[in-house]
Amino acid sequence: MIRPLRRAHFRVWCVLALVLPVAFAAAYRAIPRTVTSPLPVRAMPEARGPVVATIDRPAALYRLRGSAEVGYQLEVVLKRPLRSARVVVRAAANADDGDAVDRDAILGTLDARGLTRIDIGRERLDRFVLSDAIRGDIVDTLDFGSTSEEGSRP
Amino acid sequence: MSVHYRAVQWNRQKRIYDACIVGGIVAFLAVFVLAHRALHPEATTETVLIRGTATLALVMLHGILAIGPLARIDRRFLPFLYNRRHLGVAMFLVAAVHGVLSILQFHSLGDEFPLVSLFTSNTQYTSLADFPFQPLGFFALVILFFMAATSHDFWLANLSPRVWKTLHMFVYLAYALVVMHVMLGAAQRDSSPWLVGPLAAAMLGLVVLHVAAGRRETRFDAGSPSETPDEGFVDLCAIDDIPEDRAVTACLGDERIAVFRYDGKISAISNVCRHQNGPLGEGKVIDGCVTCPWHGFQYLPAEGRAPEPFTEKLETYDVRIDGDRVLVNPTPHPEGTARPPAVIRERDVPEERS
Ligand code: HEM
Ligand code: FES
Repeated sequence: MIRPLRRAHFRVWCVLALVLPVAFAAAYRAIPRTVTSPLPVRAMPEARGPVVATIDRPAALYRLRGSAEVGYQLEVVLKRPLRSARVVVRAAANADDGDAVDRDAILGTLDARGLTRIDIGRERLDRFVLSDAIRGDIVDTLDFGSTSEEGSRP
Repeated sequence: MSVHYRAVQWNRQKRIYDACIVGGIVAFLAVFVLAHRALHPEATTETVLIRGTATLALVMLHGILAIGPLARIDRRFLPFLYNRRHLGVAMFLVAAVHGVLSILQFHSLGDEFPLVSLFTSNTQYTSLADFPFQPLGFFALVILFFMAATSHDFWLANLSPRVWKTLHMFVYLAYALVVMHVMLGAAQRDSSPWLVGPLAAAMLGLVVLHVAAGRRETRFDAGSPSETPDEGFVDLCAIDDIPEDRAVTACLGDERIAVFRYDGKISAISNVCRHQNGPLGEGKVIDGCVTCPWHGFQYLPAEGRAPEPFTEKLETYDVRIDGDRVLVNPTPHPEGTARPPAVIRERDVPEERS
């Protein structure tokens, strides 16, 4: 290299040595941190007994837990944050319907991310509908009665 | 081969180098895709490729920028320098795959033309956390494109090495843009320490390396001998300070001079190779020709020109031997002026001490 270019390279790197770390640090400080202040924590039941059926989707893992003795529970692990502001979980009418359970009652709502457990009582339910309570459309339908991969997604 | 510019030819070493580049790219992407699949099974193929090519381009860019100062500090890095341009073009191609896939994935489904959408979909220039980071990547890619497009020896010869080297300093701007593209983009959304930590370390390493190498070079230029000139001659060193077929380099006057010892003779030529301004003084005399350590251009030391049929010419300098000392006149002769070498006589060299 010729001398003027050597000098130019050196000067450019001296400037970068000052500017780059400052810009880097500023960008680093702007990274949103997870909130650590105490948030109202939703009371969530303990896991109830063993997993009896699983449905694995790209966005979430659904598990049915429990037994007739301890009661059943729907457990939802969201792998990606929900896109809907409010997702409610209902029991869907079973084909061999005819008992006294109110199939339309809301069993629970999902948090935007993470794990949610919803107690559903001593009677095992296999079919659930997850719907967007604001837009009114169906987010997912689950059927633990058939093979775990069945159930349609709109 | 034209005598107007001398392209560095394809040879075995180059093919091995290029095979290593291609093999390295394929291996990196394969490992990245497998690891990504294991850690984030929900990610789509496009996302994995966007991230894989982005990370690879970033790694390659750091390697390319480190080769220069590393080769100045330790000669063992010289082989990497030999074909750095191929590494640069490969890095541009990898970065281009990342850029094109990103534009397709994030901007091709809207009403706007994708390149317009790139600039108009986010205009929060006053926010750091939501800064439009994609245009930074775009401008970096444009610079890398021009570097890759002008990397051929044809452009080097037509633009002159000095202009070409100056233009190629824009790669430093591209580097700064890429760092901020990552810090204001992916790092704001993915707080994983695997992105920010290594990038901080690599960036600081690169800065320290360049500043250290630059300081060494400027000190060398300032500290070269400038003893009272004797009829214009400067006492450079003892004859025995110059190993056979090698040179001692010093900055006398405005530019560095390489003083070679070969075949019982001493000649002084400009240290600046006409190809890409490589440091001739760090090369060797092979078959009577000074051979540039960067890409192997050759020059006859006493003639100040490349052997026929090549046409490159260098400034030459007068050399004198006084006792066991080598004296050099820092006033250059025009390029290609033949100067008789100083001949080392038996009694000039002190008795070998065992
Ligand atoms: C047209 C030009 C470019 C566009 C539109 C673009 C777009 C993007 C986008 C959208 C992301 C975020 C991806 C994600 O979070 O999953 C990203 C990340 C990134 N980009 Fe670019 N980019 C461009 C050029 C470049 C260039 C030239 C480089 C480097 C040589 C680069 C290096 C990176 C890196 C290292 C990341 C972080 C990857 C990760 O770990 O997620 N980009 N880019
Ligand atoms: S041969 Fe390329 S710089 Fe000398």
